[in-house]
Amino acid sequence: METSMLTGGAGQAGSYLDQRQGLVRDAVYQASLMLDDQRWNDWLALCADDFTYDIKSWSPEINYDMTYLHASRKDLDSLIRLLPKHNTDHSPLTRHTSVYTVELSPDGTTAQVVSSVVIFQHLLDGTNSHIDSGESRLFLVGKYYDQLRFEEGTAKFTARELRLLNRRLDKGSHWPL
Amino acid sequence: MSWKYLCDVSDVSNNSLKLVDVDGIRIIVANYGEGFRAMPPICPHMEEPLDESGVVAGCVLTCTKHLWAWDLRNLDLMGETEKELKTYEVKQEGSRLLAFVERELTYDFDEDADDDEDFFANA
Amino acid sequence: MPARNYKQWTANPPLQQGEWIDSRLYTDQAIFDEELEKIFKRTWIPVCHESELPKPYDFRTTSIANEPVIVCRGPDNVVRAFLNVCPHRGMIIERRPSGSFYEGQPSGNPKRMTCMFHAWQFDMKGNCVYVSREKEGYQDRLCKEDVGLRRLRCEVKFGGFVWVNLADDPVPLEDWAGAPFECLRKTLDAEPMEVFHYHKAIVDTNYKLWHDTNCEFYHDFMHYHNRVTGFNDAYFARKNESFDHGHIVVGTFEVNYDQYEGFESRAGLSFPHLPPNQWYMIDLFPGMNFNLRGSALRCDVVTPLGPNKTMIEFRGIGLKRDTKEERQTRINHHNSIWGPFGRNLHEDLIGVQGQGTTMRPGSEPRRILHGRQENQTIHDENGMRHYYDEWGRWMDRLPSDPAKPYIAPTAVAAE
Repeated sequence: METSMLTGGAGQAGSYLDQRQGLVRDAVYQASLMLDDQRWNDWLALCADDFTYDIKSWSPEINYDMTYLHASRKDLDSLIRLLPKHNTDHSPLTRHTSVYTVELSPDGTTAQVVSSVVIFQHLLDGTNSHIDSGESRLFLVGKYYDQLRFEEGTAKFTARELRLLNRRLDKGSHWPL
Repeated sequence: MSWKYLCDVSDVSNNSLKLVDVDGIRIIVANYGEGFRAMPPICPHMEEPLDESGVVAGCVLTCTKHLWAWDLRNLDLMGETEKELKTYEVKQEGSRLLAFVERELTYDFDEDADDDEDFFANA
Repeated sequence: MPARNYKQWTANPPLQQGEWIDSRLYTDQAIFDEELEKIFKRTWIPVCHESELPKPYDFRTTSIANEPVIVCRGPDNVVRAFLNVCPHRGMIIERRPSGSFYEGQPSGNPKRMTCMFHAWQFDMKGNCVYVSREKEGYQDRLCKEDVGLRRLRCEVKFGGFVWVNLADDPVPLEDWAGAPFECLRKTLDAEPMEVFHYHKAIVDTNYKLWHDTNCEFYHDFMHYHNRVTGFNDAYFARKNESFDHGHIVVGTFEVNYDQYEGFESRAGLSFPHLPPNQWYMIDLFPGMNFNLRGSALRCDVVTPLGPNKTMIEFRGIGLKRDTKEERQTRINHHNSIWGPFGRNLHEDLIGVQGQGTTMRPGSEPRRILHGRQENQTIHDENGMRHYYDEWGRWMDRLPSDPAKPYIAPTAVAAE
């Protein structure tokens, strides 16, 4: 790649950076769509081999920055493979994700993204389906802090931290968030 | 030897308070228009930090928590105030404010030192 | 027998007294209200861990049986508990879950608890130290010496947990829980511990249904992980041991994690005086669980909110001196199973919530079977039988028919 692409005329440099921003935004929204549809392996395919996944939350109760879940790509692979073996509340979870900021590294090879995410639970078989099924409830609120790397024309997730604001988690969930 | 530099006169504007550190001793400087006062940084009532809750107006220092107040001209107790304000002697040399600080002035706050191990003995 | 008609369904099961209870224990509002009065206001509740208020003037707020409670550490480092209620007109004094009184508040001064309403202040021993405009308003009829806080029984014990009792004259804490904690006492008291995990669930179920699940292991059939790693000779040799006051303890077994793909064995990181991969579970009456599994110490405590509504607080605890890596290992082990997004907890909560679905105020009374007898080994239901017998004595109600007064099981067998 010519360095002039990075430092060249405003038009050229701008479109290159825009393209990378676009790839990153696409990746975050693709991830949300796949997770919404419970296409766990398709989601994992968006992640690099060295992907790490953390769900964290600050607790004002114990004054501690908690990690609710830490998983490597391998751990997530197992988690997904074992899902059919577990008893699960199958109420679908869907996200409203909004990418707030995208920061590209100076050399253009990586990106950091901050997105707001609100996760809703659409009740199905968690409690008493006759009464509850069909209701939608707010489940989790937080932000995705994602790191991505550009590889062969795509942006792959190298790390995701979902930072939750709530600690009232009720039944929790077996599913990747 | 014990006259210590507090701050410049221009550092404490009229009707204001400034917290300074003099060799580890924290002192509040008050500019009440007609002069300056230097005092321990807390209210003698219940240890309220004066840099947060103190107000100077009309030559009077008021602690806004419970409204204890002192006339800074003569240190008279005003209103419901029950304790004296301790002060360091101050003087001005040119633009510099100095205070006579030999050791830290402190207030006595009764902390209940009673042992309460048998609190439930009469339960 | 195949499916049953109504008469057959409501008949007593072919089991002994004590081997089944009436579901009204889980659904009846009057019984629930009585449980709060007779049990929760008189038993020791581990409201938090002392590491949640580490420094002098730190505090933690909580509640027991609808009464708000505040726990504070004094300048003498002693932890005390009080009703979080201002003696003036009943304002809750401190609203935050935790924090420090070291700095002042908008209405009050450093190192004191301040009721924001009229600025009355209290010190860490519960003395009232300031009543605004006291003489002007009360003359000599009432003074601050008359209006101290209500102080509660409070002890830091069994590994740094803060135990509070709303009764002034309870069974002493050592007598209450010393025996069940004996298996872990050395471990828990070896060195300071610290809470690294906290979350809450509010579940539509009775608090005793959650505690039942903590008291029995037959439900390991619900957990793929437990079936695959646990069901061996060593597992079935474990016993459920009963203790006075309704508590039970389940003994150790070597958990065979290597059978379960997904994460490595927990061998290596443990707690003092405890071999790696060892496991103990202490279930205290009326609803607290301490579960030590190799590298993770878990504690969950119920707060009953209604006959069909329970809050459970989940804590994960490690050693204060854990290195960053050790702490991360404990967090990973704890949360992969017991975290809100781990394997087992979700299943346990679906289970008890499902029970809560069929047993709600207004549901028909049913027979709940606690009849498994297997020599008090791990799938025996003696834990529940022991618990409800204790319950019956506190409530003076017969668990199999709560409208009747309590009778001890042996007396019935003699009839």
